[in-house]
Amino acid sequence: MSGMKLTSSAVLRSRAWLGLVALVLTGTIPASAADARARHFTLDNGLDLVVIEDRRAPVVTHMVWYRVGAADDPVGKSGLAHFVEHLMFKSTGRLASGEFSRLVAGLGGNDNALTSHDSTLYYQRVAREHLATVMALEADRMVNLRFTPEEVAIEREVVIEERRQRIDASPLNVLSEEINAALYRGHPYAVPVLGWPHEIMRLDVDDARIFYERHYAPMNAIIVIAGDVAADEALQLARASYGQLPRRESPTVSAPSRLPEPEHGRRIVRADMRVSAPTFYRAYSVPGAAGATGHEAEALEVLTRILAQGETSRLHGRLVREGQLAVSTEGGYRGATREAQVAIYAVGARGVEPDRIESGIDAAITELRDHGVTEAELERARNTIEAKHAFDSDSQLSLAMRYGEGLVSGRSIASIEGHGARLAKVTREDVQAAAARYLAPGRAVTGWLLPAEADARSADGTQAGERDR
Amino acid sequence: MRSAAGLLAGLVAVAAAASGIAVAASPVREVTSPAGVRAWLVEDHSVPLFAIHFAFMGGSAREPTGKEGLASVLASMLLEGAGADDAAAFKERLAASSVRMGFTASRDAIVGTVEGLTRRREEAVALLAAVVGTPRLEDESLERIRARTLAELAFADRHPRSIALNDWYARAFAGHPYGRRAEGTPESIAGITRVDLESFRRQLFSRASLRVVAVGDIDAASLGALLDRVFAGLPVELAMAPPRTAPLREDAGVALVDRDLPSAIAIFGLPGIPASHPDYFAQLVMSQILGSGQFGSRLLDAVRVERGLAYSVSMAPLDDGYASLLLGEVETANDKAAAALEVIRRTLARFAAEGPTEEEVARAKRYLIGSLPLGLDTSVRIAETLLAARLAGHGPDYIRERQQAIAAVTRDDVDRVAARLLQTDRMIVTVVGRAASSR
Repeated sequence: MSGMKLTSSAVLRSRAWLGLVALVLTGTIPASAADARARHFTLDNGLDLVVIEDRRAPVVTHMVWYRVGAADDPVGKSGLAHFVEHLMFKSTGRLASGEFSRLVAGLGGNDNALTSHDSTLYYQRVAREHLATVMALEADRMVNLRFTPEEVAIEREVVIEERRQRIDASPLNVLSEEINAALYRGHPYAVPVLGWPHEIMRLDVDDARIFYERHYAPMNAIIVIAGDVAADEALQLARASYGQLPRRESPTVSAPSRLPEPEHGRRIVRADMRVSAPTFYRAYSVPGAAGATGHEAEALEVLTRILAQGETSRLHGRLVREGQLAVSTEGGYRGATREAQVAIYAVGARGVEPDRIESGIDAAITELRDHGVTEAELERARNTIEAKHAFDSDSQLSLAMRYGEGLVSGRSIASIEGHGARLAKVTREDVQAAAARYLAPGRAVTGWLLPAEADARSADGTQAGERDR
Repeated sequence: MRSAAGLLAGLVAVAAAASGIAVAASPVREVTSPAGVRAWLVEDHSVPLFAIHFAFMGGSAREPTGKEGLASVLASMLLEGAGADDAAAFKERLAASSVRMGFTASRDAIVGTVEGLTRRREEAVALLAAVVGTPRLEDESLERIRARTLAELAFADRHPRSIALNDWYARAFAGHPYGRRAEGTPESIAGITRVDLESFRRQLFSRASLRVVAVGDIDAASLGALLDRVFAGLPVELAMAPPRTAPLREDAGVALVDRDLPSAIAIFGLPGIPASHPDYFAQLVMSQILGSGQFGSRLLDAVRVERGLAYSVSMAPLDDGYASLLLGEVETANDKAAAALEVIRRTLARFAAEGPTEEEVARAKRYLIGSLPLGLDTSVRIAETLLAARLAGHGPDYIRERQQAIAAVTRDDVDRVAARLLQTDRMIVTVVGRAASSR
């Protein structure tokens, strides 16, 4: 949460706001009416409930978002939020270890969980008649987890394996972890969600229990339900399950520590035997939708698309099609939270020096900052983003994800549903201004993955750059 | 209940109807265009989106020897300009109309997908007709795609999972086209010419090899017009011979690919049952119990939950057009790989001897039946599911038939199939990792 952590009064304010929005929605609605569909409730114990009706198929997606994530890991205990996410599938007073998922699968449902820096998400997708059951199951593990030393010990091994599989096995993910550490130096985002291995190894049953008792409570949770259920019926079901849990004051959360404005770009170069072609990966620190003002986030979304996404992008044109400096380029802006990144990625062509690739990328960015974008580029980017939005809205999971991610970042439903209206406001000037401000060399961490030659191997067989892993 | 939104709901209702409850006609309709091109249609006007997914049956398994990767390069080249538009102009038209178009090649088919907003459908059809009828396949694009493909091959050569899968297929299907590397080799990719692409395309693109599925905001008349405009001009007959059925090599055994990597990955496989066989669904229930990768599945419980040996382990039936497999994988620390594989072997052997419990069979059936509708919640997912069913040879009633067939599986069926399939001494295994520690 911490990137966008709310003080309790801010939480109350945003709740009141949400309530107002729900009222407004039943009245006249502005241009983006097609998007306005969620209803929000708050139970007496402080739990938030958001319902997005989608009656096309007899299926529901049920999510529990906790306003806690890896950014809340105590110093020296990195990986704890993610570890607790794993332990949530162990025994409670009522359920044996693993029974949660067995029960959901037995209903023909799917379930999963996800930890980010700012939130921890648990979700199930089931036939509509099983909604009450999964709500009861989630309400149970919100307060009744047992934490036995045996379960904790085995799961710690699993998390270490997960880290090995997800991070260490991929040179690009190792680089990305190091880019984050540099981009967010001094901020909790610098620490990986999965944690550092030597700290994961020391997490114990008390760490987990204390963290759980502190952060898992109705006050700190948002339920998002998308699917074949009327909002009022969902509210009744929520009262009968989550509503039975006692109110507990929200854990005291620190005010968000904002990132300092970055001023000095950094550079990380890694050599790895598993890399076959020079690979460029740069991240710029930029605001996300929860941290941006006006339609700045949408301008960044448009900018990233024009610069780097797909084969009509500037980078693909300059580096792949015209310059033949790279075999592929890509980019991304994932900006639902307060702090976000614009990332740029390129795989160099055979025999091309990394310097020439980077110069080509820098030239394309400078051109964009100095001369802006064309009306045709803006139009194309807007169309593509609108179409993606429409396709995402067609999927319950993406739809519920969009609301949950936004709400847990402290955004209002009106803000989440106002995406289309804000996108329509983006002008060429806005895009150029965003480029000039945010694609500045001082805001970037530039990473390179280079092929390592076999003779660079050290005597013990490990690659030099990896010795400390 | 013939309202538009009702049809999508109807499809899911069919999927949800468990245990052989009779359901009215399937909402999947067979449509024949004025010129005789056929397609399956699921009409649903509740969201202004459409998805057309289609396949030309014939993929990398039909490439001439020495031209491995041709199908995959052709799939990439199809977006590189068509009709009057060169590659750049074509991609700009795609992006400007926000039409999503893509082509992929597998061993048995080249699959095309076109998705978009209803108000852009005319433009989508025009672009697709140009691609299917008159793709440019120009040398300049070919060189770019060749460079990209070579880079991808080099990447795959250093990627443990790709190394493991390539080794596994090469040994399990030695002597059959399935044993070749579907994405090609540096030598074969270097030798592909525009003439090869043109000739492969002409042999493959025919009405006989074509399968089409349409889902979403489109009615039968509009679909008929679309089919004629895009596909009616293709040759009627397929000019390409299908490959022979591929049996797994009995003698493939266990191989270790020694790589200095932070973790080891193992691919393990056994002969499976083809989708056309009545026991296919018992195999599906068995795989769900053993290898779904979910908590409560035997392999995950034994390897991860009880011993913490790996983060994930799974095994699933894989029915390519000409071979049927049970294929599994586990990724683990180098020093735990041998132990993890031993636990997997013991778990499978015990299951072959003892079979499942009644409760496991019931739970797996409930999951397989109940979870199908979860995967049918968007036009794109419905199109994917139905095209896969078509390619496997099923009829438009497949979803209902599948649900009923799973409902009918008994514990005895699973017992019988397990005893027959899970002969762990015949298991073909590839481990990629450090030799010393994984034995």
